[in-house]
Amino acid sequence: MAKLHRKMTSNPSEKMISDVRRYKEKERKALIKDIEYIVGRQSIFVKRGQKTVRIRLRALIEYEFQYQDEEGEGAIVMGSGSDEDDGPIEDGAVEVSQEEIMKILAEHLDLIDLLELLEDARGESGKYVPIGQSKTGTNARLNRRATIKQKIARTIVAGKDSGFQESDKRFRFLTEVPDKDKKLIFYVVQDVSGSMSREERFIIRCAYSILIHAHRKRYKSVDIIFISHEEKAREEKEDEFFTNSKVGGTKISSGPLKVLEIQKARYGSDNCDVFFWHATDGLNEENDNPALIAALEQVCKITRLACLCVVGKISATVKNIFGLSEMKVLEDKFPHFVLSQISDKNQIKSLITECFKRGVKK
Amino acid sequence: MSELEWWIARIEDWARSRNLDFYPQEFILSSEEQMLERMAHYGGYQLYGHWKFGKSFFVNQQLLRKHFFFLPYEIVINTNSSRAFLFDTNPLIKNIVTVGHVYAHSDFFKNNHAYKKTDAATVDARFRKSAETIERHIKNPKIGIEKVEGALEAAHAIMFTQTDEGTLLECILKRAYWLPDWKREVLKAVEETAKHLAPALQTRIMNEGWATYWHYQMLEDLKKEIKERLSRPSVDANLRAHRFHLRVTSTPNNPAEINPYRVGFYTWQKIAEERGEKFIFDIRAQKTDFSFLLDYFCNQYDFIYRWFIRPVAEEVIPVEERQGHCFDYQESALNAVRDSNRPYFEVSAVMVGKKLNFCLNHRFLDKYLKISHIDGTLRLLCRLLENPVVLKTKFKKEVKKDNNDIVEIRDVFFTCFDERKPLQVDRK
Repeated sequence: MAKLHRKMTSNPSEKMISDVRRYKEKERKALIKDIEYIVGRQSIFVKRGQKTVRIRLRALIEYEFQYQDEEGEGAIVMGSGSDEDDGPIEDGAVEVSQEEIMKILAEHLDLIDLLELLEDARGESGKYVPIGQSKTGTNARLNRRATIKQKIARTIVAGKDSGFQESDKRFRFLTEVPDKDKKLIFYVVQDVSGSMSREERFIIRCAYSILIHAHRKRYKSVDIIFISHEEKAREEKEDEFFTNSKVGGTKISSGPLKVLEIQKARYGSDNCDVFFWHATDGLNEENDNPALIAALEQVCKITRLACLCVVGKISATVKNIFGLSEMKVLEDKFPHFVLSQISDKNQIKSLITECFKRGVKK
Repeated sequence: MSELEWWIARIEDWARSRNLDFYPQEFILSSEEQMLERMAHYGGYQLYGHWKFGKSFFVNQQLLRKHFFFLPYEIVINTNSSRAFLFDTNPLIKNIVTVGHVYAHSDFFKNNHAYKKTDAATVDARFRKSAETIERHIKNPKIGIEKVEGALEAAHAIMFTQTDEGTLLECILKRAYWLPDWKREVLKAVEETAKHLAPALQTRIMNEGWATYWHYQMLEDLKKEIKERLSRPSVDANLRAHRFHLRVTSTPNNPAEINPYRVGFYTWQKIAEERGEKFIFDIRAQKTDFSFLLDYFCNQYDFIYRWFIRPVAEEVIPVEERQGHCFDYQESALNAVRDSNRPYFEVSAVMVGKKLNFCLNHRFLDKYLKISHIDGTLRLLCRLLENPVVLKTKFKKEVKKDNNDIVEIRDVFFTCFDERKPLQVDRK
């Protein structure tokens, strides 16, 4: 005669709970380990109406020998391996909150302190709050405590007291608290001519992701607009932003011009803050340079922060817009115009800091 | 005695009277979460701990909450005595149909030849023992959880991979003599699980169809009692039971999909009508899915057209096109159960130094392997064997010949020397 049992508890067993815990641990480890790959290749911004982002973690895929789904797609690219092979993201996909990804990314880039300071830096809009230290500044912003610390440290190392020196000085740097009721429009412009290495791609995405994330909490809402250009500029979605790269001529001015066009058409006279971020390899057609300067000047007039980021190493033989003398003029004229050159992920920290330092005056 | 217990006793008597031959049966009423846990453990075996099961449980739980996932009405596994899990929240009539279903499954497990080697009586004890062994290795400070989990991951990846020397796991256990004892024990535990589960993959259509056939017979035989005990003035219990049966055997919305319950049920019914009930007991003992479909399903176009072909968008299919539709359906049903759905390899090994380098030669049947999975699996194998692994397969390559683009199919060798480095790809 068959028996009928009824379980007293309705919860899963302890063994299963510990398996789930192991899985979550593994997920977290994989997130930390693969963060460069994730930020460099997958879309990490939440879509409208969603709270979490779906990302694919290779460590969580259950591999086995299996056939391709589509028949006849048997070609492989030499040396590609799995790195470039992004299939559908069903297997190994996890739901992670944006907050968590950004936290891991900030930790990876040693930016967590800055972000925390920014988060604490609340006050009335229009006020300036200190968010860090730097070696240069005006005497009014001298941080005495930090300066004395520096001096003492140097004295201990040297073994004798030689008084204060100029190099001991540490200055506070300030950032402005924006109006919380305002809207932020963030233009991410990307030069897709020529090829970009994985690290460069990661650097670009990293930098603007962090910037956007840091500003999310400081504004009522943030609109992100992705624009890619070579000779012509067009608006794109985040997913396809990095997938299509073409080789050909470049007109860097098309990026800022498109921004001006969109801004005028969509936001017209809205009272909102505008940020402009442009990443490029800096190689421009020479006759386009005057147009570029003019466009950048227009952009600077309507934005609170304009950053032109030249990615990759600059060779001495090829003309690069980074070396243009007009750029220096522009930098002097608009304090919130940041011109920077970046080729290593260790430079991201200083770039981000620079952006916050400069983005204070209009 | 609850109502369900009365029905279980009644159905068991009925099953004996219809010559079903089953293991002693236990029923366990479970909650949703417990059902999910059992699904993660391949139906409720007592297995070792691994994050893979945690993943399956967690992901399905998330999907269930969003109503993207539906739990089965019952889970029954091949043990002696047989354990079956029912839902405590299901209506009684559904559970009654399911009980009939379970007895037929149990009969199938006990009598089908594919399950003869699985030794259902000792499976619980064996699995528990290997779970304990793995637990011991995890707690051993010289080995630790990371290493054991890594070995388990690799073993799971090749669990059902067939080679000319049996499964790849068996082959590695036989040939890779340098592996430490703990690794061998981990591999053995997975191999044991794979061996126990393999017949279920070969007999899905037969098994589900058999169980559906018998619960349908049960509904016919116990019609009177169901009506007397369960019907209320507003509810016809028989009608509800049949509606439930129809839902289980419904045609999928996508015509390319196969519902194993439907294919199995109507095929068994046809055989029983044509050859008599005694004959179907012989078939359920001797066949597996592929030969079953080949003998009793294929080329019976009238039968296939009647039960399985659904015209798209309410159009009637012209007579001359019917055979084509039936043939397509038959092919997709056969494809679903064919062995060649899984890649098959020939294993060879070369001595390099004091260790063997494994070389897997993929038997190429016009289907290409997924590259991301070749990469992942070879890395896992390399970590498991602590030795380079080579895989030979074929891929397409466009070549220019006399100004024409020609697609050539060429041999490609993937070699994994180090788990952390990219694979080496060589084309011939």
